[in-house]
Amino acid sequence: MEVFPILVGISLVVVGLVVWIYFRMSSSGQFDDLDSPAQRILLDDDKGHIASKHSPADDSGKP
Amino acid sequence: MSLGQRCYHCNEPVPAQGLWSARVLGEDRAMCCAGCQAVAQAIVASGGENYYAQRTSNALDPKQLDRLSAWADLLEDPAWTGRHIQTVPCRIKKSGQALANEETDQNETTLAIEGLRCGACAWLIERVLLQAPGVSLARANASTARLRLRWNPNTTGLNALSQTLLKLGYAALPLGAGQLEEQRKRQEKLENRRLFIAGLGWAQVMMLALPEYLHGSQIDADALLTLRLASLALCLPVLLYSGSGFLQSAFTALRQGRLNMDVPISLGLLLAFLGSLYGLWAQASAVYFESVTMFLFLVLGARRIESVIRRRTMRRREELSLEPPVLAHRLEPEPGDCPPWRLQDDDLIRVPSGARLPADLELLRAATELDISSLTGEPHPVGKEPGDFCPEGAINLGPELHGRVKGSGAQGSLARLSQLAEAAAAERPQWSHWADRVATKFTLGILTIAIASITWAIVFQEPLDQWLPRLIAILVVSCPCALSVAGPAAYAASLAQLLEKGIAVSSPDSLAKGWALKTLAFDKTGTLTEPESSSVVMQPMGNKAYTEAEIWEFVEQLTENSHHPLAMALFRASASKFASAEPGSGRSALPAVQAIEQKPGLGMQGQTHNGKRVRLGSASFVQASPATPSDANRLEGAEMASLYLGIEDELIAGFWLNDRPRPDAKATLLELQKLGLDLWVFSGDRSDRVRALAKTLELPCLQAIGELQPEEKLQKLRHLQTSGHNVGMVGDGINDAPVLAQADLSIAVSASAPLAKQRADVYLLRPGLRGVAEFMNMAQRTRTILKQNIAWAIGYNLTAIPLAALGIIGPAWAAVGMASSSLLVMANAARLLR
Repeated sequence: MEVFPILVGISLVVVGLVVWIYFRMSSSGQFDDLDSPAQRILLDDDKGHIASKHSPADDSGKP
Repeated sequence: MSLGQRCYHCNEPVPAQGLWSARVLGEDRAMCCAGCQAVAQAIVASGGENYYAQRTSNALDPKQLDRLSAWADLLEDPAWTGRHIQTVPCRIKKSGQALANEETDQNETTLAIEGLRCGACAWLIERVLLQAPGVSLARANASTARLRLRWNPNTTGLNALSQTLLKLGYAALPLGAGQLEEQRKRQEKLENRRLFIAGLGWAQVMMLALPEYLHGSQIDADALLTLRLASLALCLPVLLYSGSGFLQSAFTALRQGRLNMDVPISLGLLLAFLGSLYGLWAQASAVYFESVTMFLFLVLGARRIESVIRRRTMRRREELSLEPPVLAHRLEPEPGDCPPWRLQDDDLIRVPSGARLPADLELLRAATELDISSLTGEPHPVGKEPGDFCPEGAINLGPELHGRVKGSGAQGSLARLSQLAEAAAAERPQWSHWADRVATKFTLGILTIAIASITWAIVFQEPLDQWLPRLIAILVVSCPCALSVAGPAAYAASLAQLLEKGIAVSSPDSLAKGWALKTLAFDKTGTLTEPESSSVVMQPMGNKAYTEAEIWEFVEQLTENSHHPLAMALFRASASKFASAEPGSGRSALPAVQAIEQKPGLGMQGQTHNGKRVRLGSASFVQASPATPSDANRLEGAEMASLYLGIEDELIAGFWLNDRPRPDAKATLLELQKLGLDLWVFSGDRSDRVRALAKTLELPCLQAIGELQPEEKLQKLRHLQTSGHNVGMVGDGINDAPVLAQADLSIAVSASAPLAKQRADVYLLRPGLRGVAEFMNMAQRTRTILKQNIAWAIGYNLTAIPLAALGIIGPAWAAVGMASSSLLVMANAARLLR
C-alpha cells in the first residue's frame, strides 16, 4: 500500500498540468470564438464540392 | 404576386416580385431592394458564394448600414487613429527576407463590425479582406462581432477597407479597441477559467471520495487520511479561485449591511469546507469536500449560461443604439456641413430646431430650451441663456440656435461612442436589483431556518456529525438560484428574441408593462397609415396670384425640416416636382421664407420676405375665418383637401393626400384583438376620414375618434386610465409626444421623431406595425414562463428545505437538487428564444 500515496500524488501533479495547459490555451485566445473556426474550415474545404454540384461541366473528378 | 416571399439575402419581405434578383448558388434569388441585390452580387463576384450555403443567420438589411457608413470617416481621423492604431514592426525571416506582404511596418487595430453575426460572415470578411492589397491579417470573431486587422499603411487605408466591407453588407465602426472592450474580454475569460477549475476539481475530488462512499468502513485509517488530504489539497485552491467571486460579493454585501444571494451560497460553501476540515482533524465519519466543488461548479455553470445570454442581448443593443453621427452645420470659419469630429475649438455652428447638438457649445444670441434626458435622465426641458454651456448630445427644443464649439469635436464624438457602449453595458443593475430584492427576503428566511436548526441541535445536544450535514444541506439545497437566475434569464431571452424581430425594448420593465395592458390606442397618420406611399394632388385656389412653381417652393421651404409625416410627404412631392421639371419651369428666385416654425397639431408657419404670414395646415389654421372654398369641392368628388397653403387669410392652394393603411395594419389589429385588447384610434385628422379608415380596416371593435387636438388626445387617454385601464399608445411622437409620455406603455413606430424613439418603452426598428403584435405576444409569453418558473421555485424550495432539515437529503444530493432546479428553470426560460 506504500504505492497508494504516490499514485495520489501523481494524480495531483497531472491535475496541475491540465490546469496549466488550459490556462495557456485560454490566454492564447483558443476559446474567444467558438463559432467561426468551425465554419471557416467547412467553407474553405467545400469550395470544390459546391462548385461541382452546381456546374457539372467543372467536375473533373478531383477531390 | 406571392405575398409571403422573403428576400434571399436579408429575409425582409419582398415588396414587388421580379424587380430585384441575383444569381446565387446557381439559382436566381428574389431580393427585397437594390441594396440587397448589389451586396449579393458583390459577394458572388468576390468568390464568397459559399457564405450563403453555410450561414446560420440572415444578413443585415443594407438599408440599416447606410445610416452608419458615415462613421467610417472617423477611422481616418487623427483623433481616433492616434489612440487606436498600433504599429507593428516588420518581421524579418531568419533568411533575412521579409515575410510576404509584410515588408514594411504594419498598422494594426480592432474594429466593431455591424452585421457580423455568424461564422460564415467571419469567413467571408476574412476572405475578401485578405484578397485586398496590403492586408496581411484579418481575424473576424463571430461571438464578439470584432475584427482584428493588420495592413500596410503605404498600400491601403482603413477607409478603403471599410468601403470594401460596406459593399459586402458590413459596416466597420470605430468601436472595439476601447477599455470597456478589454474589461469585458477579461471578465469572460475569468468566468470560463473559474468554471473550468471548478469542474475539474469536482471530477477529481469525486474520484477521491468514491472509495469512501463505497467502502468507507473497510479502508484503513492511513489510506483514508491520504484520500482526505488529497481532497483538501484540491478543494482549497478551487474554493479560493472559483469561489472568490461569491465570497467577495457576500463579504461586501454584509459589510454594507445588505443581504444578497451570494450570502447563503458563501455560507454554504464555507460551512461545508470548515466542517470537512474539522472532520479531517477529528477523523469524523464524513467530509464534504466533493459537495463544495460540485456546488461551486453547478452554480458557476448556471451563472455562465445566464451571462452568455445576457452578453448576446447586450451586444445587439449596443449595435442598435449606435446612431449615425450628427452632421454639424458650420458657419465659421468655413461654412458648410461636416461630421462632428472635424469641428475645432471656437468654430461657430448652428443647430436647427429639434436637432441634436453635435458638440459641446457655448450658447450665443437667443435663449433656448434643451432636452437633456438622454444625457442625465432629467425628463423636463432645461432653459439656457446666452453664454451658458450646452452639452453635446442634448436636443434643441427651441428655435434654431447658434453656438461656439468648446473643445475639439473629435473628443466629444469619441466620448459619445463610449458612452453608448457603456449605457448598453449598464443594463445589468436593473435585473440584479430585482434579483437581489427577491434574494434578500429569501436569504433572510433561509438563515432563520438554519439558526433554528442549530438551536435545535444545541437544545437536544446532538453530536456535530449529525447536525452539521443537515445544516449544510439546508444552505445548499435552498439556493435561491431558481428565483434569482430564472427571472433575469427569462427577461434576457425574450429581449434577445424581440431584438431579432426588430423590436428594441428600453428595459425589462417594459415587458411587465406590456402584459398588464388592457387598452391600446393608435395614432393615425404615420402610424396606422403610410404617408410615404401616399400621392399628393395640388390645386391652386383663390385669385391664382402665385404660379405652381412658387406654390411648390413655399411648400418645400416650409416642410424642409419637419418630421411630420404629412409634411414629409409634401416635401417629397415638391422635391420630385423640381427634380422632374423641364428647364425653365424649375425654382423661381423666391426669397427665402423666414422664421419657420411647427405648430403641433396645426401645421407649419413662416414669414415671407415682405413680412406676410404664410401657413400650411388645416383650413381652420390657415384661414382665420374658416369658409369652405367653393372650388375646393370640385376635385375628387366632394372631399375637402387635407391641407391648405395660405398667405395671410387667403387660401392659395389645396393639397389632397390619400394616405393608405399600412399593408400589415389589419392583420396586426386582428391579432391584438385576439389577445383581448381594446383598440382605439386617436387622430387629429377629420372625423370622416378617420371613420373611413376604420371602415377600410373592417374592424367593428376599433373605436376611432377624429378631430382631436393634442391636449384632447391626452385628456382622452387620461379618461381611459382613470376608468381603471392600463393604456398603451402606439405613435410616431410627432403630434402625440405628450400622449406617448402619459401612456402606461409607449410604442414608437420606425419613422418616429428622434425624441419619441429615445423615450419610448418600445421602439420598432422595422417599418410596419407587425412589431406591436409581436411585442404583445412576447410580453404575454414571458409572463407565462415567469409564472411557471416562480411556481416551480417556490414548490421546489417548500419541498426540499424540510427534507434537508429532517436530514433526509445529504449535502451532495442537496447540490444536485439545487443545480437541476436551476437548470430546469433556465431551460424553461430558453423556450422564449424559439
